[in-house]
Amino acid sequence: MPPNVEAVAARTPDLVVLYNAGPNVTAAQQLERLGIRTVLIDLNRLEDLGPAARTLGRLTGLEQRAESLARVMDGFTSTNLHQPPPSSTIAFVVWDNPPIIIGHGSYLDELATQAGARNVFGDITAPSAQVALETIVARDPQWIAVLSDSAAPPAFAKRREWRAVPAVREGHFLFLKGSLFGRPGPRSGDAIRQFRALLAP
Amino acid sequence: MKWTVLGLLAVLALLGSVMLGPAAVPLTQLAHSDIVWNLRAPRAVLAFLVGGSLGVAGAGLQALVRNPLADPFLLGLSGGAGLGAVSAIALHVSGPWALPIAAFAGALAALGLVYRLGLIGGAALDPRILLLGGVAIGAFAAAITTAIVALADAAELRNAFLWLWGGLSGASWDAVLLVALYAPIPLAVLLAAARPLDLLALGEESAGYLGADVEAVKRRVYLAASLLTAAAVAVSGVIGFVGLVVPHIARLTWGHRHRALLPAAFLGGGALLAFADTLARTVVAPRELPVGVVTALIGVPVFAFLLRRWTVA
Repeated sequence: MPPNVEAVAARTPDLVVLYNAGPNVTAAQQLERLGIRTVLIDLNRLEDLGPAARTLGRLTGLEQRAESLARVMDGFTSTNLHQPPPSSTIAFVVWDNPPIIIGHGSYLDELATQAGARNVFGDITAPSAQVALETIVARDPQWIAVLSDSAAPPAFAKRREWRAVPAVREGHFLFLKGSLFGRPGPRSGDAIRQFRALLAP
Repeated sequence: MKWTVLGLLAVLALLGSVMLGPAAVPLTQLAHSDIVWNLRAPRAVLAFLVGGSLGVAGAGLQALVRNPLADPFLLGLSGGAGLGAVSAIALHVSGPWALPIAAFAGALAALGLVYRLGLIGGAALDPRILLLGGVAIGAFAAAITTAIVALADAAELRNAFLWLWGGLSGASWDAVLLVALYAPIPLAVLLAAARPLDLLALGEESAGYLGADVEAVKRRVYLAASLLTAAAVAVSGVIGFVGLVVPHIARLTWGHRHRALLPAAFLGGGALLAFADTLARTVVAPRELPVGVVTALIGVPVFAFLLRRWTVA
């Protein structure tokens, strides 16, 4: 949803930070026209974190601290951050009907790679995509990852058609907390470590 | 001959739907494959039942309102179903059947409201008011749905729209059994109304003189067609164009007699949706297209062709 520009302007902020996407671009232009300093930040993948920290540091006059943080976050994408465990295969299911999965190059796909797992839908070059359930069965991931704050199996695990997926039948779910895994941020390192721990036998 | 061709088309569409898919299943293993038995076969059968139901519902409604543009989803049912589904998600109603049940309940609520509006002028059900009421209730439900999506703090809500755009991903033998047990009743009601529907084409007054109980027929046809559509939307979301285009294609071959037209619309609708779903699963594999997109891509050119024929005629 686009922000309510009038409500934002009424609070007379020194700086407005917006996620760089569709309706926010128009909102940023409107805020700039009102004389409010506004910045649009790309924050979709691990490699966006360092530049975002540097941009915010520059705008807030905290360049040195931002640079220190950015260097740590640049390291999230380095493959030698951790010794990878034996490769596991994984499918991220973000919705069950129709099945929507995470494809190549998305944040979660990057986290899986850093944690030593292989996204079975890594050949799909879209951040997310609708697939047929039989494609998930055929690709037979060892783990089904879902963004969930609870460790209870998702509702679709009880559905007969989903039980054709071996990982669902065997209860091989990875529950990824939305607050930690939902978007890139300073805690992405924790997300990678926790991901590895979940995959460990 | 034409029934043999239609029957063959229906069998071919069903067989193709079972044999073709994004996963490579060798022909020799088709009979033993879990993918085929647990996923493709129920999906093919459900597509056929839903497509057939929409075809018959569309033919019945077009005769009832005497309007060639009548579509089962024009009567507010899709808006009601959408509101039901989105409300269930926003209220965190859980369970494997929560969404279909909520959508069905929403469609029934819309059906009740539109029916009540249809009776607004008195005891006689006015088809014109039914159409206008359907559009108004559909728009009202869509507005509330949009407000919930805008205000609720649930990322899943946007996925409810994906579900509503139509698809057969949720197909299972349970869903097939449910539709197979439920659909024959409204289908039988519509088939039984075949002769009075023929008479309605002459106008309500003439139909009455020729012995049709016009008011009873209108009520039965409206309720049966709406109940069929509500079940279809509950198991497969809103799949457009089948209920609009199939009756017109069937009329080109079988004429206006509903005793032949309704079974033809069932077989044609079933074959079209099974075929469209096969395309949806395979043309961009491993990704999948919403089946409503495929039916629209097939339906719009056919509809344009029909419009041209009517204009020339």
